Amino acid sequence: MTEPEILIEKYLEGTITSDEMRAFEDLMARDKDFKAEVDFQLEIRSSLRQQDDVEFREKLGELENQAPKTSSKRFWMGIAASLIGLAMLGMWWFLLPAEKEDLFQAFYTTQRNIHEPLTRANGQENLTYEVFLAYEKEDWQEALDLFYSLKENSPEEYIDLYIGNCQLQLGKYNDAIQSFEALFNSTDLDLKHRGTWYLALAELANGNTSRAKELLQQLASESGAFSDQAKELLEKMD
Amino acid sequence: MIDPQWVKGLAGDDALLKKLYDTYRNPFISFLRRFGLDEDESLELFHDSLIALRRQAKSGQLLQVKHSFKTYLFAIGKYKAFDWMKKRGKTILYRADELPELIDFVDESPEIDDERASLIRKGLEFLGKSCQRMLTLFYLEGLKTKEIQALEGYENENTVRAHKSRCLKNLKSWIENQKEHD
Repeated sequence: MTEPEILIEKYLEGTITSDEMRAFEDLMARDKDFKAEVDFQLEIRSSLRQQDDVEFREKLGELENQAPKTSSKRFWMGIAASLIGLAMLGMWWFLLPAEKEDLFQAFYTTQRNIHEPLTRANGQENLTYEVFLAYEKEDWQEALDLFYSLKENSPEEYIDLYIGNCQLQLGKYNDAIQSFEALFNSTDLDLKHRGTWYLALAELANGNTSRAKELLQQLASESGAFSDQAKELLEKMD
Repeated sequence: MIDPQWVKGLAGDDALLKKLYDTYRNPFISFLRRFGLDEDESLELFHDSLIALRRQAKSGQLLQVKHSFKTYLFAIGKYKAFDWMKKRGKTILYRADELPELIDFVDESPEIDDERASLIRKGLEFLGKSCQRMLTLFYLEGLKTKEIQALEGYENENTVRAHKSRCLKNLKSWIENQKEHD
């Protein structure tokens, strides 16, 4: 095994040292055969990568067909098609899809972490710390998985509020609706109002305008933290 | 501080790739739409960004990145969005964010014409399974000689080198023969 071959190998592996790189560049400049060999091996790598890119892009296309979506064109086109049918029946009061999407985006903000401030008083990290860290880092899938584990260990009612928010972020509206509904009969009034507010937004995102309105009217009629926001959203929907 | 599960997903673990895709698709698209791209354009750049990251995952570069996966993915997305809009003379809507500037980011798209690439791949098929595997492990999967030795059970690194060298020589001869026949 001659040294130039080892230099090429290390160059392609990315393990070449700076001294070896100088020797490599020197050979590239003055040895035609060496340069031809490097170019040939780079061509092999490029041709394999090109094929791999094509196959990987196809795989991404398949994942796209299965992926949960928050605002996919197909979803809204489906809603739009339904609305044309409804319009023919004279039901003009339904919102146009784009308006509904905009309303959800305009009124939705993720629930802040108000239950577990992230401090490490004892320098210890437990599951609660890990889950809220993932939540605050907006690693929604990771946070969701950890919230499920947390709920198994300590079935605190407030966990559903965060689970529902993770699901909303992941576009899992039906799951989010179920999570927020669990808070609907909570005796903790603040939690109940927060749950109802997010439930209304999840219903809106899921295309169920009439249910969203019903929930917002309920919130607006009670003097809670979300009463004013509910009234404002109802006005925009009318 | 890249989460190793995403590196595995990009490098070939299909279940983790699906988890990655479902986790970051919607946030990435919402993020790019802030710059004025529509959903289809944002989706195309999401795929382009994942392809770029796959190459880095295979070469081992991705594990050395000092940012979180999300920060790095979004920074690549922003880089690609600006590049995409610049090429099309579109106005870039500026939004403040805390993403790092990717000064060292090199988007290594394969630079080879389709005909030549196709000829090389045909040659690889001609060489047979053993050489195909050897060259794929080294040039595509980014395995080092030592790793190939351990994975494939070669006696030592020199045996790997000798086998690779024979494969390269045969591939070169096959390509030369094709040229003579044309």
